[in-house]
Amino acid sequence: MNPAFRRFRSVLAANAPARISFWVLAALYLAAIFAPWLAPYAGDDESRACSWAPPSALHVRETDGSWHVPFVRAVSYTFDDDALRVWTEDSTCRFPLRFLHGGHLLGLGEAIASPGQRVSDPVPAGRLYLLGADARGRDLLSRILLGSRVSLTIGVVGVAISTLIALVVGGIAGFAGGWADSVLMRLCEVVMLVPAFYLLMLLRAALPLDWDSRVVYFYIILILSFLGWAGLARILRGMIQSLRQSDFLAASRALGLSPWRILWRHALPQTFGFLSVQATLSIPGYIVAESGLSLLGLGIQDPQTSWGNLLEEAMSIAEIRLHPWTLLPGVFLFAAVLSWNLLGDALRDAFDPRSLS
Amino acid sequence: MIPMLLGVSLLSFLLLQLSPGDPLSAQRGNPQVPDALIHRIETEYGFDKPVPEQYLLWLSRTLRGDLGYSFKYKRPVADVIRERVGATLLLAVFSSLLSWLLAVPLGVWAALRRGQWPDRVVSLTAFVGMSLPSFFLALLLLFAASVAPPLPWFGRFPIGGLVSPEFDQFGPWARIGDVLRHILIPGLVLAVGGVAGLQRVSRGSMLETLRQPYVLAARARGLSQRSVLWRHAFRNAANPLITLLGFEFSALLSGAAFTEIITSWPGLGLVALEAVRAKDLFLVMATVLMGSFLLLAGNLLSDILHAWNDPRVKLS
Amino acid sequence: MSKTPLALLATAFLSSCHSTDRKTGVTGEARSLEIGTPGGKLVLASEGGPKTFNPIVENESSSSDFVGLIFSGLVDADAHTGLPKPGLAESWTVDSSGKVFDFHLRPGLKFNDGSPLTADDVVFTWTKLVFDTAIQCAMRDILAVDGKVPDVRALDPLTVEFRLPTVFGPFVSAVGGVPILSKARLSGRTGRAFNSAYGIDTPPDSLVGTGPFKLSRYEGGSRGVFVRNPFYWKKDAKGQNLPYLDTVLVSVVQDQKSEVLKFKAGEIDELDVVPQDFPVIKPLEQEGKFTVRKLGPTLAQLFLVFNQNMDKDPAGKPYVDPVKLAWFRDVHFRRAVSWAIDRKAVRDIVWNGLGSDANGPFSPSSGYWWNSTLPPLVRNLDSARAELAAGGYVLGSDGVLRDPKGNPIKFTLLTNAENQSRIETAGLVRKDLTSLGIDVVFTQVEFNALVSRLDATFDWDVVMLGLTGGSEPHFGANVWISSGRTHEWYPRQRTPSTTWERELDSLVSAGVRSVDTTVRKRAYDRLQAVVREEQPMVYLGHPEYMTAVRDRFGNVDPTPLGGALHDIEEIYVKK
Repeated sequence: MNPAFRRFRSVLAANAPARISFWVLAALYLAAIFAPWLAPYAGDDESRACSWAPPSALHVRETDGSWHVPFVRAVSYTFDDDALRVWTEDSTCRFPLRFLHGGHLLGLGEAIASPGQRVSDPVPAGRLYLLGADARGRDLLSRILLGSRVSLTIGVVGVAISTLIALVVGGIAGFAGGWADSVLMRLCEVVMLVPAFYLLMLLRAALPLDWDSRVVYFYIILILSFLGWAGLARILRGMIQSLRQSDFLAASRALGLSPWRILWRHALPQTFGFLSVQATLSIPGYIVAESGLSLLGLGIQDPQTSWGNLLEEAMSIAEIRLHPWTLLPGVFLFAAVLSWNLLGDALRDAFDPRSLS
Repeated sequence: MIPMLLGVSLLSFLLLQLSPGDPLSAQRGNPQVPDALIHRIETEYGFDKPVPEQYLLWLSRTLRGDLGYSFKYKRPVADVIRERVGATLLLAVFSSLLSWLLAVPLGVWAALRRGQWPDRVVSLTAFVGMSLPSFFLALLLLFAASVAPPLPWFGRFPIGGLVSPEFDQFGPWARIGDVLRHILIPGLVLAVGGVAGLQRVSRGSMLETLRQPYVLAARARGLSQRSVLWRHAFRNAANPLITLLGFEFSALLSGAAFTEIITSWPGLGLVALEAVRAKDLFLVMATVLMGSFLLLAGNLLSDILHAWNDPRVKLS
Repeated sequence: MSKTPLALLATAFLSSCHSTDRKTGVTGEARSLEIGTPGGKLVLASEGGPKTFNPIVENESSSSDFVGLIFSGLVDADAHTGLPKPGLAESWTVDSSGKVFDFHLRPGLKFNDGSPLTADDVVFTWTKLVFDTAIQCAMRDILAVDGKVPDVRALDPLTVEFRLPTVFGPFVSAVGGVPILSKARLSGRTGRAFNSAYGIDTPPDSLVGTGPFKLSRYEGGSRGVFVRNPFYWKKDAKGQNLPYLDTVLVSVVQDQKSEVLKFKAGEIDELDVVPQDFPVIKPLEQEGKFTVRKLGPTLAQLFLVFNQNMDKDPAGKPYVDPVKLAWFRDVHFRRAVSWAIDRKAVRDIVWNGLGSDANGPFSPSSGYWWNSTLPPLVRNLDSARAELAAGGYVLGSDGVLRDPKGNPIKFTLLTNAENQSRIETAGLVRKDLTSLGIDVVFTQVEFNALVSRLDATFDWDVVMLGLTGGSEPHFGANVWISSGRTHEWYPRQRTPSTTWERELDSLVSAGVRSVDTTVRKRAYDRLQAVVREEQPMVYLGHPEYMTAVRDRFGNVDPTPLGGALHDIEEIYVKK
């Protein structure tokens, strides 16, 4: 294990894109872990009067020219003749930015009257929309952060389960041989033959369309993990077969160790290097698959959030032009996928020096 | 090949058995579906019989070309599939060619300028193209197309569909042009995804070839870099690429589905989605079978191409 | 494009015959018709594609988009007033009892295959098709008063007589809704078999009708090509044969979104502009050479309906979980749900501000029949909580609402997947109901699957649905009568299951049995009040009805009653 770790470190040291990717991913996953704290608002915290609000303008100077802690003003809209929203800022008061406020990293303080004004009653709704709002006035940044918990973890968990299945299937086939081997390998080939999208559709069709939204996450992982195990199982089986026949194992058996123990303690660890590279390369595929499913309305649905779900709102082209910030989840998605790809690529080169660089 | 497809059919049949409820429940109460039709399907497919028998019944009909009845489209499934497969194939072929046309020159250029900035830029751009999810790129391109002003001679970017409504009135050239206009966005989206892999292989293959002794010998004999490149090196470097074209094609068939859906390209992917939404189970099975068949065919194609191109390989 | 079937358009007057080309009416002035030139093509869109070409059996707008071009009936409807105007019948008379109508056919009428149309075809269509109980015909349910249908007979080749068992207010308008089919073609296919006749794989030449166009080609799932019916009876003021247009193309689109894209790309010529698309379409008027018109609240209704079905399936299992059934049948529960919904948010967020409040089952665009005294349905959480208290529902400290028996209130809300605005509205509704402690699970289902669940399997809790509307109240009778097919919350009851449903039955009956409009209005006003009281359907508001049509077409005169392209035979391409 240790030499693998060292090799990993040297890969990062040598390869700049991989290094950047590593830190990007670290940032994304940390953000996902701390999302409820990092996000200014809860996922379904609506402010319907601010529906489709553009990203908040941060001011530092008040109406009289004085300097202040960065603040935002309350916004409201009216419809023009083309039924487009026209936004106006309420300059009677300001809402200062506040750190570590009310259980969140960032938030807004109480309304403070502007020079020569009084805070109106009722107090206007001051909202911090760093990346804009959606149709119901929910903060997009908060939803992206909260959605990352689903999108990023589904990839990792899905790959983990896939790998586990592949290990079991490949292990049994490689070790047992005989008819078990043939049956399992035929099964793998059949599953690999179905193009991923159609396999997704097939699995989705087998499940009821009206999921309890809580159960959705679980089901989607199940479906996704069904995608990748077959190819991996085949390779693992080959690796285990060759290990089985190697001298190393013959020697162990001569010493009287049981086959399972050999498999567990010696054969499998040899595959870890390969497996980690495979996993890293597969994760992006799972992230994209979940986003795609949710985009089609077959995956995560409101009120749960995932990046694919957020992009579903952007699917109406009319919306994109009026509210271009709805495409931002795609940027995050792209960043995550690109980072995993670059990292995986560097790892693969590192673990297999024969591949073309 | 046949046993593989049988395996796929068995797998999809078993998976769909997991689906709760009676597959025909939605149609039973529908006044426009004649009772006779429901009864006929019940007996022909043996819904009340044990599962293995159902599978065999379904299989025997499928082998005879009867893929079942689609309640959503109110037509035999075979008709629906037949109408849509062509579009998917067309898109796959177009995207494969487009990605090839883009990837090969880029790979060659990167190989010739190895280690220098063109090499790095191409490599990074290829990565970006590979990492950009196809549906996101499709959304971006559709958005760009919708705000783009009409181009001269090209007109507005069509959004969705295979042909314009006036297609019938076009002469043969105009028809081809019309389809090309419509295929541009989905084709581009898919091609971009494929360029990365292709470009790497092209570059690697080119590098490999350039190291060969016969290339050095040709240079030593005084042939120009250019003629060495095109007359000798390239033809051999192209070997793995031709093989890869086959794989690319079959990968595209799978990846195309999302793009088809977002760009409203009337192919197999769109049908599969609608079938799932409508719980049209015969249609779902058929799309899975068709998708697998196309994948198999693509692999076969690449094997053949490989054998044809490389005289050392014989098909078993 | 979703056209309201012309039959639902008419207001209810027992009228004698006269041409109504230039009448002012309920919704604005009619324009005088221009003389056009023959030629040209019109491209329309239809969402979803037809389920059938059978005009008697069809029941969705996706089919009527096609069917309405091929077939027509004895009378047509004026798109402004809703009054009947001559169609295949050039005039009609009624006797002093108000129960015997004679319709006089125009001489020389032909079907689109050239065969003559006589009174026999009319009698055949009515007696053998419409009134046959084995055939699913919505118009029969409307015309059957106390289960008795009119007697129809041919007095001579050009005259058909209808003898009604009782006085029926909107009879002439109802007649218009039944397209006349050919006896020669269909006499072998009556009875149950007719339900599947004229399906979408029928050869186009077999679709024999009297409409301005005939089907030339139908490419499954893609489009229908219609050509001029050379035997169409109507002529313009100069004596030219109508229709002016050579061809009409109906392009099948997946959903509203593709329809908008096609319109923007210039591929279709007309678009019903829904409020969410207005900001995108309106700025393109100059460049796209079309005009967008705002025409008032739609006649369509958007609502939530609760499943109150008390029946059991053939296996003996109740259709609706008894726990939920108790909530749905409790008026306090329904009213509380209604009070909780933020309709202003629906209007501003989903409709971009283009809409108006509903106050009950009828739209303000129904004109005379609309009960303007009822207050609009708005959000009021205090009233909601009061209703819940009256029903014995308790909000626990965990934020969960429970019924008097302690069951947590949780149900599934369904709507159709193709409609993006309904999905957004459902999201808002779901959130609104959480403020009462109600847990709503929202799911999208494909449209046909949804209809099957509503009509046949009854496998639903609460559905968000839209129904196209018209102005004549009786044509919505199927929704109000307890035995009605579209009495969505509990269709086809043998006897009314509640006192208020019994009252609705009697109000519908009273409304239809009179010719006196004040008597009718009293009945329908009371009907609207009862529905608003009991809220079997929770109305969410009316989006604004708007259309966009290319400027190069003449005689275009959109109305909420008629749609954008009513009287399509008059439309021509301006040179």
